[in-house]
Amino acid sequence: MISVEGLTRTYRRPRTSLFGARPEVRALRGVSFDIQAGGRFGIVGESGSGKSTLVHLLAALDRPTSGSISFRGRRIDTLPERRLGFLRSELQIVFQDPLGSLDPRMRVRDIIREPLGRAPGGRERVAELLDAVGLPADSGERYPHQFSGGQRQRISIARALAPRPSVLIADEAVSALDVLVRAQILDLLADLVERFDLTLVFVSHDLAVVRRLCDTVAVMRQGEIVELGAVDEVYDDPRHPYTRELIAAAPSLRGALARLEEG
Amino acid sequence: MTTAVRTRNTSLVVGAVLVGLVVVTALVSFAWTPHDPLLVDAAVRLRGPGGDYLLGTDKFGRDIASQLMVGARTTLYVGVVAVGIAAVVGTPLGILAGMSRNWLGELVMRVNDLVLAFPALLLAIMFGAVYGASTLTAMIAIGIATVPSFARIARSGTLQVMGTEYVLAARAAGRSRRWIAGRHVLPNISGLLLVQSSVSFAIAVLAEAALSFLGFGTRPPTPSWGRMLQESQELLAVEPRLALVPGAAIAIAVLGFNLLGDGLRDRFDPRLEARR
Repeated sequence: MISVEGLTRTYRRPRTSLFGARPEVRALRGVSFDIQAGGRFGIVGESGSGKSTLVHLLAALDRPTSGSISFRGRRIDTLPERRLGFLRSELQIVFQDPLGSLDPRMRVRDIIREPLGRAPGGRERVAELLDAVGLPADSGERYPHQFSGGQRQRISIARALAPRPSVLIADEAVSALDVLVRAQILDLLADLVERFDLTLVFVSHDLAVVRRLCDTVAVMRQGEIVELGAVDEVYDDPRHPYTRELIAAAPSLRGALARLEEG
Repeated sequence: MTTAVRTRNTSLVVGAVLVGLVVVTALVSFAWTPHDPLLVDAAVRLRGPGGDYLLGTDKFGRDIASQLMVGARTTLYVGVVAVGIAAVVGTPLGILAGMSRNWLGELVMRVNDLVLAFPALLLAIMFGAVYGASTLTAMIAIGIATVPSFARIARSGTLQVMGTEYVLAARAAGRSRRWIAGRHVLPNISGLLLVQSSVSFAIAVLAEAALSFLGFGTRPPTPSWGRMLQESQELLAVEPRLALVPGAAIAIAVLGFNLLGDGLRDRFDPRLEARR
């Protein structure tokens, strides 16, 4: 479905002095992997590990410095925007910040049908989507700030599903939510992936969350994939010391829930 | 959260009242003025306030109150057209500069800086010298000189909006730049632009008065606050009232629009946006 080969991305910072060289930030240093159709691919790493850069490249919102990305066998890293139409409807993103990713000046119905552009028949589709993500039917008339964090993320998911994509990228989609709401949204995502037969790319700094949702996981550190494999294998038998660190450091969802019940 | 309590916004209220006063005065002048503002009558020249002439008469025997009312029209007319030109030209330029990441945006902003460095009054005097002094040339010159401030505000607002995740989401959904500019950028910077309009209006009012005072703005006999000031000049020692009345009117209008701008800024502060 998605094939990534030797991907690098180097950002050049603005020069700090007139004659000084522009400092470079190597956000990705040669990343390769394949995502199978229907797969649930997790990407784990701490902030600054290059996860977001990778997401932007996968969605063709940014261009790689070198390497290639193919989507259903077609190179997308070299195509001009006007020829990316197929990708724009097939691949959608749910972002981290449930408020920042929704335009405060737009009604929910306009947000959800934005990916459809000026295509007709939006009204029924919005109603369908609101129902699919478990929001009240009258939500469409309201504005994002009238909703809670979890509900906003549902709006975001509804928007992503609007063009009937085959790939859904969740970029830290549950990180800003508190534990209980996080569990609900994770359930919703799992349910929707099943129901609409989606390929899921789930990006998180939390290995426990990835384990719950994904079958394959790539562990990233400093712009490189340090470990890649079936999620249970990686979790039960981590080979890279960094992965071990991550597993030890991350509080598990179950643990957090247990603490919540005790307290 | 949905029923947030608004703190009292005194600037907004006082500003709106003062601006409202000027607007109502101008509107009433279309239907009614105490006297014909242009009627010259030597028999009643330099009458003091009171009686038949509420604010007295000038050296030609014209009613000052009536001139003041009609002068409010000129003031608002100049302000609306000048700010209109600045907003219509400056906003798209600013959005363009904020959205393009290549040399084009840079070029727009550098030309912008060039115009910004040019004093508005000098530009208006040049226009007046070339095309003849009139309210129209003054408005256009003030408008052109105000374009850069709009372009700047629009650009900085656009940069902020372009950095949000909802724009990223729109791009990922394949929406065009024009769509993003119209659906996301413009609605989200409209508050900033409204504030800028009000502040620019105050500057335009002042600039028109200054130009008319210098003889490069509104031509006689059309009443204008700046020209009333100018005509009062030679009698300043004898009849300070002639300068004080239009001076106070200009001060009220400028203060009103500035306060309104401040009040609107508090209301539309982007840092408070998320909590609205």
